[in-house]
Amino acid sequence: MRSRLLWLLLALLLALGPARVGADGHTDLDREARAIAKDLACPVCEGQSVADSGSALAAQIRDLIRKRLEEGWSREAIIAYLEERYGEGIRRAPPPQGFGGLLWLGAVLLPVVGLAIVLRVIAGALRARPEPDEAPLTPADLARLEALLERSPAEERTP
Amino acid sequence: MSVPDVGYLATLLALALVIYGLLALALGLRWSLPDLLASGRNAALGTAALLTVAALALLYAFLSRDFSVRYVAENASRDMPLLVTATAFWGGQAGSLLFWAWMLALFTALFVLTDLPRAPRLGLPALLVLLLIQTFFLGLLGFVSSPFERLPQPVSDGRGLNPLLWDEGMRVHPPLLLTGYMSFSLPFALTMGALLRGRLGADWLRLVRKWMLIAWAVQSAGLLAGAWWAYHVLGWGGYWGWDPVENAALLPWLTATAFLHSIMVQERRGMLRVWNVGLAIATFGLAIFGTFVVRSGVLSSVHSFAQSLIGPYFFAFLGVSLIAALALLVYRLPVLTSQGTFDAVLARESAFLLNNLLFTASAAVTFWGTIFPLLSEIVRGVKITVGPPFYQQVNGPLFLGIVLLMGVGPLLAWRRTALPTLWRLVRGPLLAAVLAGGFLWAVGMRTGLALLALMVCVFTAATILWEYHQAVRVRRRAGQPWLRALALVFAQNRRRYGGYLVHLGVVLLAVGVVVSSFFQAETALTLQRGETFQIGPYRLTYQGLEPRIEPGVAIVAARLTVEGDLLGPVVLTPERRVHRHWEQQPVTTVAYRTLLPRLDDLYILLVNWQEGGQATFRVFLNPLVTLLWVGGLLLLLGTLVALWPERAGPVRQPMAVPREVVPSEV
Repeated sequence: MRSRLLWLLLALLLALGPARVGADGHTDLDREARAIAKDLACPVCEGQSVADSGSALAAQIRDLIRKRLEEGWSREAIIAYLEERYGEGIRRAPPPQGFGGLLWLGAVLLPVVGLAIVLRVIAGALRARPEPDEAPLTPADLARLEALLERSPAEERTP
Repeated sequence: MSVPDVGYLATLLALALVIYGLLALALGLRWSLPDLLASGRNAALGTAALLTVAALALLYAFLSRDFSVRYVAENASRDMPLLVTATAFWGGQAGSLLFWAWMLALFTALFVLTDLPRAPRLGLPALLVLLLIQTFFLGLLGFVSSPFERLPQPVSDGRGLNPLLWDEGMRVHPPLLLTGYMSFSLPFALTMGALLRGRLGADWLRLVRKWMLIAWAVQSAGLLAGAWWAYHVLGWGGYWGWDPVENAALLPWLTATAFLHSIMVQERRGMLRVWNVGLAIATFGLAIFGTFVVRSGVLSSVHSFAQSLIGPYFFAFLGVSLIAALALLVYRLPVLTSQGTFDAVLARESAFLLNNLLFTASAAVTFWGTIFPLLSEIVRGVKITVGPPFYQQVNGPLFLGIVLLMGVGPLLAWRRTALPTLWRLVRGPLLAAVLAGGFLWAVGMRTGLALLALMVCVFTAATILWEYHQAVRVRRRAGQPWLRALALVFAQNRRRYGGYLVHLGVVLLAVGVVVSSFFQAETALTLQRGETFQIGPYRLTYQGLEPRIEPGVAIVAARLTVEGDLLGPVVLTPERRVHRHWEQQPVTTVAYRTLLPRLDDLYILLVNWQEGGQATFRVFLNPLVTLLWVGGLLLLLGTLVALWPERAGPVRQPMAVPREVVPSEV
């Protein structure tokens, strides 16, 4: 019974699975053109890429990318050409050289510094761990502790 | 006196009342005068009543289309349906501020009525801080940016709301997000109250956790509603664009998530107090920053900062709040010493530290990317864009780490976990992940990153499901029937098993994000009437155009039929709408449908058409986007379970030394 259920499940999965990849029937050139367009900001609309924007200018740029690719231009050459025409803002992320390098440097440094701090905290807390053979609590300590224990929850209840 | 004047008067009275309340509380606390304290409390309740009057007055001004009011004239028009007109309440800056202040007053009143009586020593100074925040917002509403301001000459018709906002998303997303931003004030006020008082006691832990969880839930709902809105309205086939305003909404959510986890370490082990206070402060600062960014556009350009009337006030408020909060934190450092220690590296404590690292690192790099264009414009005078390629590359690995940690973390015991124990717990889920990876490979998935991410998701889902399974099995052995056992699991430890539901929701979200971003297919094509084309396993036939007119709107709809869905043929009608007053900005209405059994979203836009009925479409095939909404709902459900008040029972005790060894008073 149980194994039949598993087989059914597997059959269902196999029916669902078949390659989502390449389902759109695009060529490599289409894919490359779309990848480039995805990394470019549409100059006339807030926040959308050239690939996704419905504006006429974005459509023009998409055609231009395709044409240049067919002519054998490289990805970087096309982006550089567009950057000259529309300004640095057309890149959806600045390149890691020059001023844009600061952005990427920050993005790497911030987590690394954070990790260093966390490791130090853990190391510090491990070192602060009390030795197991420490002197046991004296009766006076215990009495004090008990007094405090009683005081603190009680204080919470009575405003 | 007309209704808008009543609204304005109510705002001013509320401001006066808040200032009175502040003085009463401050003096009452200083000299322990119970009458003054009670009066300050009532002032907070009165403010809520007055701001409700103000909000209703503005709503009335909108519904009666009172175009003598500037804010109404700018955001509404006669063509707008009544429901859309009502949502114009938060369509601009002044109304959004009023909504923020109104919600703060309501939440404050709720706090005064429910929590204050039980914890007055913490609650009263916290109320003082809440009223301080309220003073700032009411000051802005009274003297800088009032939604009740009159026009010199009433106009016969207003400009109306941007047609992109004529949508049901407008009814949920902005109010949720404004409420979310606002609600981070409560954990902040509680934390400041605790610092003023001089101790982070058990009452602080209990209340701050509760209010942070509420704020987190509202902000999560706001973010999800925003993603859903973007997806079905903006028409670019996506749901999250990493634009500055979205980032601003995500930032406090990230730090709040970190806080909700690290607070558990303080609760159980008495550690990380300073860090938790810092996170509460940072979250509030980011929420104020977000409130401001949402309505000012300052992040797309420095120049809009100068145009924004409220900019300088907001930054002054933010600066003063942060400096005051940090000063108080430094002043109280001596009472915030950590009491617990680490016993081993491999323990729950380390997992929480790592969790906090990942969330704060993600917040830090997102913040850095968000303000970087501003830096570029100030330093070099050059406009640049920091968009998805940056955030995906830097946040992708961090988020993957978070999902992985969600699987491992809960398996680790507090204090110390033996490696063999851990291995026994993870080997099952690891096997599941490897099998899933093999299966995906076998059906033709060859994208390495997607495979890795999905395997991590399967691993984490398996550990969570295994935890549920174990918990249910124990109770079934005790003779409980299956469903009753599951109910008991939740009832007996709401926080833990509610939290796991949230985690499961996040895993579903992650699967949806990974699959839809790696395997989205898109195509643009022009079709003659009756022509058919194939995308993936689906056959689309274009049937023709159907133009129609609605009040103030001209609409052209295209009709397409889709074959390939399990439940039979589907009709989709993408539209283009031209609204009066907004002729330059036609709105595209997306038509989409989730198709069974593969859960692909077929997402169609009408781009253009010619005389003969020939039309151009953009068609997206977005796989598994539905998992985002399902995962989101599960996340909210889990939060609700975790928030549900426990029946009075034994109080959870800390494991080590009691939290308060030295109760010190202000």
